[in-house]
Amino acid sequence: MALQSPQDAVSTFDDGLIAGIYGVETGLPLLEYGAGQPCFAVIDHRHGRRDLMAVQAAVHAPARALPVNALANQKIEDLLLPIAHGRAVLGQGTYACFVVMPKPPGPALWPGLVPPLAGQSWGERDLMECVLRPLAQALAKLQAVAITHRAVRPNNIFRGRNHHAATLGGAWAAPPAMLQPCVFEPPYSAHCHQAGRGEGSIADDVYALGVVLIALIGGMLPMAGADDETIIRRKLEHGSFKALVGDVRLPPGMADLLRLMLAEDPEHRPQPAVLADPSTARARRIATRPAPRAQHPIKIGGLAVWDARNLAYALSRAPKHAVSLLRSHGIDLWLRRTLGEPLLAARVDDLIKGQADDPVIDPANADGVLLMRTIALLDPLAPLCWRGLAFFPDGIGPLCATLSGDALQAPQMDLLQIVIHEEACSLWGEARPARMDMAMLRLDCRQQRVILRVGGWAGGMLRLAYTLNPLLACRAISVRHDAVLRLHDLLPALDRAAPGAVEFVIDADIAAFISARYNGRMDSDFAILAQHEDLDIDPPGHRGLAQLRVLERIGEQNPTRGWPALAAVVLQPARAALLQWRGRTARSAREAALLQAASRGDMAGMLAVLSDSHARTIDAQHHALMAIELRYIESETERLQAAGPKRHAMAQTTGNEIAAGIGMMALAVAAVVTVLS
Amino acid sequence: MKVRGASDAKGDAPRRAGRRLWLAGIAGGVLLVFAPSSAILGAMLLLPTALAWIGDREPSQPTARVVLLFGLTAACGPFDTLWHAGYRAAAGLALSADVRLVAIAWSAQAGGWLLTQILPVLISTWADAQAKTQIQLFTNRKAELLQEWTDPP
Repeated sequence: MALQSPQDAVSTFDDGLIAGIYGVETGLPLLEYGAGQPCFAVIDHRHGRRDLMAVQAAVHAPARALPVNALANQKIEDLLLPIAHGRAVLGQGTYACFVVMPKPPGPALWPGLVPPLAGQSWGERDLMECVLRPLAQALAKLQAVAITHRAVRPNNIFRGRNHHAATLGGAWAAPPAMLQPCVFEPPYSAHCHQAGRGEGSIADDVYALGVVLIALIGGMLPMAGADDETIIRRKLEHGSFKALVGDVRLPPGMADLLRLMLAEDPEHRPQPAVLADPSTARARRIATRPAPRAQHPIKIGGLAVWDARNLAYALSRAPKHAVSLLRSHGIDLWLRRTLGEPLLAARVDDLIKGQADDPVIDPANADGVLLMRTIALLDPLAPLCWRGLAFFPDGIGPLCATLSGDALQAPQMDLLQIVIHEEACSLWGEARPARMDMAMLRLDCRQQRVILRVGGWAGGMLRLAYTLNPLLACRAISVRHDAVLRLHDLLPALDRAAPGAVEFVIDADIAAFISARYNGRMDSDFAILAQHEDLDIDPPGHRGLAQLRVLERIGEQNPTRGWPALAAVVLQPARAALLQWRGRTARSAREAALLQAASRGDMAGMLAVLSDSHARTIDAQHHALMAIELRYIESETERLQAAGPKRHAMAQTTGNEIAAGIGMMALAVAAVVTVLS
Repeated sequence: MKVRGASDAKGDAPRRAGRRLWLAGIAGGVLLVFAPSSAILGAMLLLPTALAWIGDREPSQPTARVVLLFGLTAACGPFDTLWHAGYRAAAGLALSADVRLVAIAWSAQAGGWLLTQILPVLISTWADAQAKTQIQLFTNRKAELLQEWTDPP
């Protein structure tokens, strides 16, 4: 059951429960049930159930969103289905992401993957009734909802009660097949980066189930002690069935079935529903042409190869040598003359010649594209191989998450970036069109490229990692221990981290997380935030304001809560925006309102105070009027100061005129008095 | 071609002053011939005016005019006495020799002169004070505006 409402999210944060119901008992680890992942007991606080467990997802390897959501309401027997997912308290103030599922009914078939475990061989009937049939039925039901398991291995298969049917464990708290040892994966998948194996197909689960059966029959892991490279090479050279069975004596009824289950081509493997009835499955016959084998091997990167499939693998392992061989026509000549595959050689030759005329391909990546296409041509089952990085396009999401979280894998991250930028997945798909839905692949490539090309913090590989992994928690340093999965968990986490935080709490990681999760665009704000601090000149405080805008929009999802600690931190950079108000009185009033809103932790209030455009227009108008008045005052003052001589001249004239007036009046009075007397 | 206005500005003023002096001399001569008593009395009483006329360098001679007006005011009484004495030369001479009358006339003209000196100073002081007050008001207003509208550091 996935969290949906904000109320649930809040309770999750406050009480540390998943979906407000499931409490993870970190003091009660269940090491034997996690299949390589940390696993803890769970208490259902609503119903009091104690038959649950929670598997912890790694920080850089997120849980699988599609199965977790699609299977939450399904009922599949003999399979541990996800019940809920979310974050829960792991330790003191630390959260982690968990997937809650039922506890298995019994211990794992295999206590560990470290062989050998003597005395654990199974009889054919036990294998059929207790392992193959129930697990095949479970896989068939998964196939019906278009989901693969990709974690079929002995330590993830649990004994049923009273020797009844085995139960398949969960495969939901890690990217598909990421934790699968190479031996349980077909060579094309084992060859991939562990995080980039992709969802694959149900046929890959059938393959893994076949390997499990061999392990149970033999009482030890096939090819135990061999490293991954050796396992893949043996499988490619001898075929999976021969390589895996080795010296193990198979029960008579199992050999044909296992040969089918371990077929190299996934399309040749039986469907799980057919496997549920082993007698029918055994009756199937697949006619496959044995791959041509050369009389003399060709050496590439130290590997001597005898056939096309091994050639593809060797080319992917030694890309530089492979390209020089391709360019010198060493490969197509070997294919034509030694292997006897003139058609394949002609197609490789066409690729080399056509590459030069392709205007779409960046010349810097021409070698990579040529090699990728050649490998796809030589082995249609092979993954996309780009200069040593192998993966399937549907594994780009987890691969991106894993590579972006590890600085040591930066070179591989750069390779992946080039792949996405060149839309190489599309080119790879075109080389094996029969096995791809090209329309969807092109669409995915285009969308990924668009995200990659978005400028600033709103685009790039980090954004892509969060977009392609809905259950990838925000990995920013400030909130790393809060396992923030959803946007409305981000503000509480930032608020908690606020004491001691830097002024700009939104960094590239948080910006990428928000861009991927927010249902709207904040690209312009992230572009501003991505600018260097020294550029924060005009208008004042625009980076602080951009940060506030982002936080306010996130806060819209949780409007009833205030975040005073966070507000106090973002207040300082945002405060500079007050300088956009030129009037001291208006500015002081705004500042008081801003501080009041900040004390309440009201981001919306703070933003409203700072970005009141009407008030700012009025302020600007007043400022313009002030400038006019100031100019008038200065000119008048100058005029008055310069008018001294003029004023004295005027005073002289006026004084004389007044004196003359007095004189005339006196004369008139004297004349009248004289005449009348 | 000669600029007419320029020659007028430079040469007309002394020529006009000289012309006025000539006219005054002719008028004085005519007055001395036809009304000797009035001429003697007038000359005696209005002697400061004549001095002011000569000393006033202003083209419109405002100081001399004020002194004249005050002199004429003070001369009304003596001329009235001369009128009633029948315009005889002896009466004119007697009045001219009357120290009290002459002192009054001269004092009045001195008062007029003093007025022309004091009034411009008073008016100038008042105007300067007005301007200073205005400048102070402007300065205060400017400081107020700057305080309100200057960006904080």
